[in-house]
Amino acid sequence: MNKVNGLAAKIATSIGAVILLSMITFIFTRVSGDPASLLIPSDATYEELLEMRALLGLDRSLPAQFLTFASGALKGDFGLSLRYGQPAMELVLARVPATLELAFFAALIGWAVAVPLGILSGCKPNSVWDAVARFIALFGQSMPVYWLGILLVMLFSIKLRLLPASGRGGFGHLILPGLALSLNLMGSVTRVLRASMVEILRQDYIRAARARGISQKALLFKHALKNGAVGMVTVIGLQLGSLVGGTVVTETVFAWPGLGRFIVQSIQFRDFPVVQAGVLFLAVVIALINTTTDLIYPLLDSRVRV
Amino acid sequence: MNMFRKVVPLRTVVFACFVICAVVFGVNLTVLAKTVTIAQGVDATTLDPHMSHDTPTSVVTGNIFDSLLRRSPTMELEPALAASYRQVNDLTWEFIMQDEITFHNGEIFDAHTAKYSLERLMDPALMSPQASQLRNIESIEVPDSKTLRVKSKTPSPLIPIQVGNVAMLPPLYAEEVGPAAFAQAPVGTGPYRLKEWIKDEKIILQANGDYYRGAPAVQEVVFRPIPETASRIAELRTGAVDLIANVPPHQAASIDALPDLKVRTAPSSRIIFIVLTTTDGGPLADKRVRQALNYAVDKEAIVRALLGGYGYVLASPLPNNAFGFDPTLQSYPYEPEKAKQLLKEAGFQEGFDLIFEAPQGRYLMDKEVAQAVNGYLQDIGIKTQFNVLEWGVFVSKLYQHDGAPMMLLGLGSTTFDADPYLFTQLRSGEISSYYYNPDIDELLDAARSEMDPKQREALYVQVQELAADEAALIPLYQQVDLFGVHNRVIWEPRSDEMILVYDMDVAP
Amino acid sequence: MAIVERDLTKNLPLSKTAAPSKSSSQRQSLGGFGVKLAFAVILATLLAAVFAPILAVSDPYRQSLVARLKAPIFVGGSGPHILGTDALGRDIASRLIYGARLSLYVSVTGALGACLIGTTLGLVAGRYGGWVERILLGIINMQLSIPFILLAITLVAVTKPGVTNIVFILIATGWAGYARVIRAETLKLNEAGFVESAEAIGQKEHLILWKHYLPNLLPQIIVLASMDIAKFIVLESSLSFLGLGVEPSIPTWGSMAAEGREYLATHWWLTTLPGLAVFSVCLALNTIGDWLRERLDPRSTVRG
Repeated sequence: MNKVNGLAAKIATSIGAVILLSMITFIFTRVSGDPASLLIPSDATYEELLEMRALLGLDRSLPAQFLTFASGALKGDFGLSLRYGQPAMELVLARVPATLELAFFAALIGWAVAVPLGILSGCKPNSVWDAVARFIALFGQSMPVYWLGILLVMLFSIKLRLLPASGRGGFGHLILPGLALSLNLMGSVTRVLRASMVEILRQDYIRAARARGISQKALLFKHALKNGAVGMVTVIGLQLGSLVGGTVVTETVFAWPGLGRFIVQSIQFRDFPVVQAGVLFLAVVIALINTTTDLIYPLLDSRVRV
Repeated sequence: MNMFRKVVPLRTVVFACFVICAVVFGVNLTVLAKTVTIAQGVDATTLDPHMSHDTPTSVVTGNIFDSLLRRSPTMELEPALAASYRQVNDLTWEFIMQDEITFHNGEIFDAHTAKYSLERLMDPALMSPQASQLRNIESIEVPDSKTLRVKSKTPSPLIPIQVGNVAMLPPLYAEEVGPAAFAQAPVGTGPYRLKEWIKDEKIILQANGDYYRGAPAVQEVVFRPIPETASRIAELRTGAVDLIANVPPHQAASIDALPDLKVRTAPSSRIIFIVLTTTDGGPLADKRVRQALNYAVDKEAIVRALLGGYGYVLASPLPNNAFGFDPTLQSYPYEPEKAKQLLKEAGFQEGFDLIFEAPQGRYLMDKEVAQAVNGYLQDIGIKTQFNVLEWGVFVSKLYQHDGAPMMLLGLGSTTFDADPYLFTQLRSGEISSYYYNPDIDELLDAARSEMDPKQREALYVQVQELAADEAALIPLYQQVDLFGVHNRVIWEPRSDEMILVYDMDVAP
Repeated sequence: MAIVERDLTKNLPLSKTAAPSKSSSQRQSLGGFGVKLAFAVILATLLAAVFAPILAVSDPYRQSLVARLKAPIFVGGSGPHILGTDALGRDIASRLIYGARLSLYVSVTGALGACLIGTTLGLVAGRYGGWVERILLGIINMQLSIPFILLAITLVAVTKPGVTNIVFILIATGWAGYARVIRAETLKLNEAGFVESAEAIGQKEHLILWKHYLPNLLPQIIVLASMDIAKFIVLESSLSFLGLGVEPSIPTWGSMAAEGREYLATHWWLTTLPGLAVFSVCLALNTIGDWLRERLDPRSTVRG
């Protein structure tokens, strides 16, 4: 009974959140500028501007416009893009494969480096290793992504002629944008993991365990890493969410046909059907990722009860 | 093994190897087939030429579609799908169609097709951003399948330009599939047809061997969107791309320095100027203040330093390649002392507060130019509050007449005529005009329906002189378009920003 | 993994050797040097920000189209501009010094605000659960789904640009991340022995939060906040590009780096110098953050 109630409440809040979010997005897209002004040519007259607004349905009241949008959206119809004249959700979904490809590749490299780096730092605080790890982690975070990206292009594409400079294609095209992006991802994971490790290795029960001569390896994996894992998984979840939303700068520098640049362009054009479809798509993905991380916590650390 | 040798003759094996090689190293075959790769900043948004509202889209559709008239490389209007045209009376124009032209799908092109295309563009339901260019059309008649008669509401010398510019679509196909599908699978009469379009990645066009002017030299064209300038140049340097658009002036020298590459330029139809709000009272309502602002800005220095010399300083809001341009008119020289003097005369020796807004990322070097202008204004003691705005916000404010007293604005038109420039900026009541002068209004209205080119030109010269004397705005400069081109590509850039691959060839 | 194992043994001289080994004392001195250097960097930056008008050799706003894009002296430039000039001929050294003001103010205020809101909400959600948590998680998810640019452009359209807006938007984009991390850590602490015993002896709720939760959350808070400062300096520049930030001529490290982007291939220092400024401040803050944490931890044996 309780379980059923809990589930019902969860579904109810999710639906409420989606409705609220689409209302917020709707209001944001409507007050942030006039799509008709962006569509008409510079020699149009005031009457033509009003006519374009009427054709786009922008002359009606906001609630009326929202009802039209919402009733369409309920049927899965987000309307036609103002810029492309194509169904908005289709346009959004068409960018997803490229986005995921880059996201997972970058995440894989980034985390594969960040996790050992974080462990190393955490196990040996204030060592040379720690300093190096801190240096790498923060360099990727502080230097602008386009700085890293263009430098990589100049080195690997122009100087060495090893890899393509931009665009999507084979695996080769994935390497440079993946690398630039992964350097940016490393920072948070490394630092959060280090903090957790340092913390746990200092706990009394670990000290006690060490005193009892329990193997370091066992200690590290059983307690320290497990403890750090919750924080790390949270950060990874957050990063995954923003990666799926697209990484505007990386996509721009490497001409990657991803979701981030597409949504930003749509926002700049006030292409609100696409913006709304994009935000709702993101909302679903982020809710999924965050729910999954919540479900992972108890598996990682038996003390956590969600 | 032995058996294999017996059964399969050596010749077949060799041939098979060749085929396999050809398949595996397919790249070599495409090189033989003359391909050109062109990089622009963004992808086309649609391949329906009637729905295009940006240059990159028109550049692609310009290779798939034809219109009744076209522009020669020197921007002269010349026959295309219409073999000829003439003015019947003040309101009526007649276009005679070419014979035996077919669309990519086999549909026949004739005057009915032309009528359909014009009416499609004018149909409010299509919501075409170009519809306003045909707003003066009263009716379209087709007396016979070769003749198109267009009647305008008021006499207008611009009808051939406006009608001649419209892309021709196949009625049967376009109606059958509808606008959304047409935009994905366009069919035109042009030298190229669409082969493949992967959104935001590439558009591949294939030569139309049956093109009415003869088959194109380049067999395949690839358009790639590469937004970042540095990456566009990098791709040009690696040889992955043969031609790039929108080269910033400060990169021109580094491209020219490379042995395989060169920068090609063409005067653009785009001009940059500063709108002054004169209709809301305040200091800018005073002619002396406006003149002071014109004296204060060193346009030569801006063009030389920020545009690397790639630009022409303007005396009026009109590019030098537009009909009606007055070459004798002199721009306000850079004389900050005179500017201060004029401010003093107007009673503003202490300067005054002024909001100055500029869009960001819309025009070449817009933010830098605006900042430089802002610096010059402060030099003569004007206390500016300077903002850059995202384009959508900026243009919404501009058209709602909610803009700042000073705004940096750009304007371009492929009509190469004074009307779209001077009318939109100086005629009171237009959405982007912040100026009111009854004399100029009268002259502009007269010019709009003046059919005699000499008379018309004289009217526009008068408008420019008046506007310059009144300092109605601050004209800055006309842009020059820069392209980075690989030496193997034989091609001349055009002033209308089009990249017509039909006029291009690739050295072997 | 082998390295880790070895390091661990070395790092933790257990009961057998009571006195610190030679290597560990070396490490300490290295840590000590790093911390001192970090303090020096932060102090220098703060001084630069405060005394910018005295320190800056030339006027950071003074444009000169004749003297644009001059190289810094270490790449062969000469003349009065030690670090060269930007695209409008403004002195880069002076702009870096002045840039510290706004960049630090905005990013530190933003990080503190985001941290305060995020930590409070994360703690509340993690500690009390139930419908409060459910609603908060819903809001967090919503916040994470709305693109930053959309929020920024909306704000540009409805308000006047200014520093308050920048801080507001940085907080609005930053808090949700904290909230999720802090909530996760809180969930761990809920079951910790010391919390349970504090509850068992009937300690007051606010004392439990203050004495047991916060100190244990502090390491993560410090890490996140110091990371955010770097992130926010960069984010600020995209706001000024959208017209939400301050007047474009006012220097900030983020906008200096962003403006140099177009020139990266030919004038690499335009982006690299402000980038390095962000990096060194961020590195210093993180080093201090680590050190501070150790100092605050009563169990800690390492003293910087």
